Amino acid sequence: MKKVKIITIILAIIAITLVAFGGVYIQTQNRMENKVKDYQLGKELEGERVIELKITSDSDDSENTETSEETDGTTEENTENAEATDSTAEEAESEQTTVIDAETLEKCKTVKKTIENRLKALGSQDYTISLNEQDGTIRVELPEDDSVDSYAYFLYATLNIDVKDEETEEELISDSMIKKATYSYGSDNSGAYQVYLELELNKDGQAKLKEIQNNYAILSTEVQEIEDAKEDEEESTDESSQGSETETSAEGETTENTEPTKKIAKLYIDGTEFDVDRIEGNKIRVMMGSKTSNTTNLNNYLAQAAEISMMENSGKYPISYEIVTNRYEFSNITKTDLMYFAIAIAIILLVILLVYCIIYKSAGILASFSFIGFVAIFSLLLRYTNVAISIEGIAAIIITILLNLKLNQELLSRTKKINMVKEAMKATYKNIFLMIIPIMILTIVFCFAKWSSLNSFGLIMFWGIILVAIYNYIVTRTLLMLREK
Amino acid sequence: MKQGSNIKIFIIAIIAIIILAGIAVICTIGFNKELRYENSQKIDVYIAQTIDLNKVKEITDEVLGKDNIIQIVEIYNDMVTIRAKTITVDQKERIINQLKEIYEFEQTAEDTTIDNIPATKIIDLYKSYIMPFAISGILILVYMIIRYRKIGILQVLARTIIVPVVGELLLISVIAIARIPVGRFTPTLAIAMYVITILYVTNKNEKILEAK
Repeated sequence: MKKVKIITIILAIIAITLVAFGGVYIQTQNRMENKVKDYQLGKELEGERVIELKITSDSDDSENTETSEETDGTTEENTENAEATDSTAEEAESEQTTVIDAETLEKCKTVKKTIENRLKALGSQDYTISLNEQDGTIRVELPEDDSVDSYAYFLYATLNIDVKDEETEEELISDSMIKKATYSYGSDNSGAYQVYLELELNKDGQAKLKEIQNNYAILSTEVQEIEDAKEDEEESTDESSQGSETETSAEGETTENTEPTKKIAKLYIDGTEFDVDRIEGNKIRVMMGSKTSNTTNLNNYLAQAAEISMMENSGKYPISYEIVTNRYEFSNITKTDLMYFAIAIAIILLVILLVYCIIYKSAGILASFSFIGFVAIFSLLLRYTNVAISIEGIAAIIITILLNLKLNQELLSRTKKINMVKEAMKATYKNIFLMIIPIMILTIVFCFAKWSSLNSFGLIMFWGIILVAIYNYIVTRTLLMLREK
Repeated sequence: MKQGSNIKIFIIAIIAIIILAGIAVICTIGFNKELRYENSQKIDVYIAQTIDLNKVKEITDEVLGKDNIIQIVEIYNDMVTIRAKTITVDQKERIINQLKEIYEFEQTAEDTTIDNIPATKIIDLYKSYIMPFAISGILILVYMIIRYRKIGILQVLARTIIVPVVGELLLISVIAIARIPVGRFTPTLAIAMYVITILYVTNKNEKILEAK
C-alpha cells in the first residue's frame, strides 16, 4: 500500500512535469496547438518599442545650429585616388550631423525630463530615455503593451493654455504662468456631474490675474452678462434704426443697456475656448464640457481633464519634437539563448540531485522526484500568475530553486540523523524560514516596485517562497513519511 | 584561533585593495558600458524575407568584430538593425554586399544610412532601483535590530549596514576592474550580492544569538 502511494505520487509528478515542459497539444483547425500558457517575458528578453524623436525642422531653423562633418581622418586619402574620394565623400555625407548649441541642448534636456515625467504620470514602467547631446535626438525604449501607442503620442504632444483678450487676442496670461493643474468633479441635486480643471498660477500669473481682473471679465457668468448686454444693445440699435414706430420702448431699453466697462478675456486650451467657473486667489477653475449625467460623457471629460493636468504638470516643451522612428525591436537575447541557459541550469540541477541520491539513497531519490515536481509546478505557476519574467526575474527563479535545494538537503540530512521526518521537517522549516525573513521583506518591497524588472523579481520570489513552503510540506514530507513507515 | 584571525585580516585586506583599485578605475577610465547603452551607430536592412539571425551574426562579427548587436525589427522577421560602436561606409557596404550573397533584396548600400544612437546615462538606467533598495534596506535593518537586539543594537546595526555595502562596493569594483559591461545584467548581480550578504549577516547573527 505504501509503495502504491509512493508510485502514485511519483506518477503524478511525472505527469505534471510532462505538462509543464512538454505541453498539452490539442488539435485546433488542422494543427496541433499547445494549450499550456506561454511565459510572459520582460522587455529585455522579449523586445521593446523604440521611439526616436528629433527636433522639428521649424525649431531647427530658428535655433542656432551648425553643421559639422566627421571626416575620421580620411581626408588625406581623398586626394590620392578618385575612388577613395567618392567613398569618403559619401562617408562624410552619411555622418553629417546637425550640432546643436548649448542653449538648445539645455532645452533638449528639459524635454527629456518632461518626457520622463509624462511617462511616470502615465504609469509607464521600465522605460529608458537617452539624449544625443550632439543633435538633440531623444531615444525612448518602452515595453510593448496596449498603452504604448498612447505613450508615443504623449512623447511629442504639446499643450498651450492661455487667457486672451477676446477682441485683440492679446495674451494676458501665458502657459508659463501656470504652476500646477488638478482636476475634480462635482454633482448637483439633479445628479448631473460637472468636471473641473483647476489651474494654479505662479506669482507672476497671480499678479497678472489681479491686474486683468480690474479691466476684464473672465468668469463665465460675467462674460455671459456682458455678452447678453451687448446683444441687447445690438438689438435695441437695430430696432431704433428700423423706424420710430417703436420709439417708446426703444427709449426704455437704451437707458438700461449702458456700454460695458469691462472687456472680455477668455481661456483657451490649445486654441479651444473654455468657460472659467471660479477664481480664488491664484486658482482658476475651468469647466470641462457641460454638466452631464451620462457616464460615457463624464468619463470623456474626466479623461480630457486628466490628460491636460498631466501634460501641464509634467513640464513644458521649450522646443518642439517630432517622431522619426516608432518601431518594435526584438531583444538580442533570443529564445535559443534562453533555452541554452535553461539546459545548463537543468544539467547542474541533475548533477546535484544525483549527489543527493548517492548520499541519501532512497530518501534522496524521493526528494529528487519531489524537487523535479517542484520545478514543474513553479514553471506552471509563473505562467498562470502572468508574471513577466525579466533578467532579475530569472535571478529570482534561480534563488527560489536554490532555496528549495537547500531545504531538501537540510531535510534529508536531519532525517538521516534523527530518522523522524516530522521532527526534521519542523526543525528545517524553522531554520530556513527564519533565515530568509530579510529576503521575504526584500521580496514584498520589490513586489510593490513600479519598475517592472524589480517587480518581476519580487513577484517571482513571492510565488516561489510560498510554493517552497506549501509544496515541500505536502509532497516532500508525504513521500519521506511513506518511506519512513 | 590566531590563524583564523590572520585569514580574516588577509581577506579584509584583499577586499580593501580591490575596492580601492575599483574606485581608481572608475575615477580614471570609468565603467565599460554595454554597447546597448553606449554612443553607437546603426544601420537598418530590409531583407524582405525571413532572416536567419545566425547567418547575419556571422557576417557582422566578421565585418564589425564581436562587439555588435543585431535585432529583428517588427514582427515580420524581415528587417534587421545592426548596431556597433562605429560603422564606417566601407563596413556598411561589406555587410550589405555579403547579405546580398545570401538573400535577394532591393536595398542597396547607397540607400542605407548610418544613424547615431545616443548613450544612456548610468544614472538613468538605475535610478528606479534606488528607492526600493533603500526601503527594503531600512525595513531589514529594523527587523535585524528587533530580532537580534540581545546581541547588541550597535553591533547588529553596523553588521547589517557594512556587510551589504562592502559587498556591493566589491561587486562594483570587480565590474570596473574586469571591464565587465555595465548594462542589463548589472542590477541582477547587485540583487544577488545583496541577497548573499544579507543571508550571511542573518546566519552570523543567528550563530551569535545561539551561542549567547
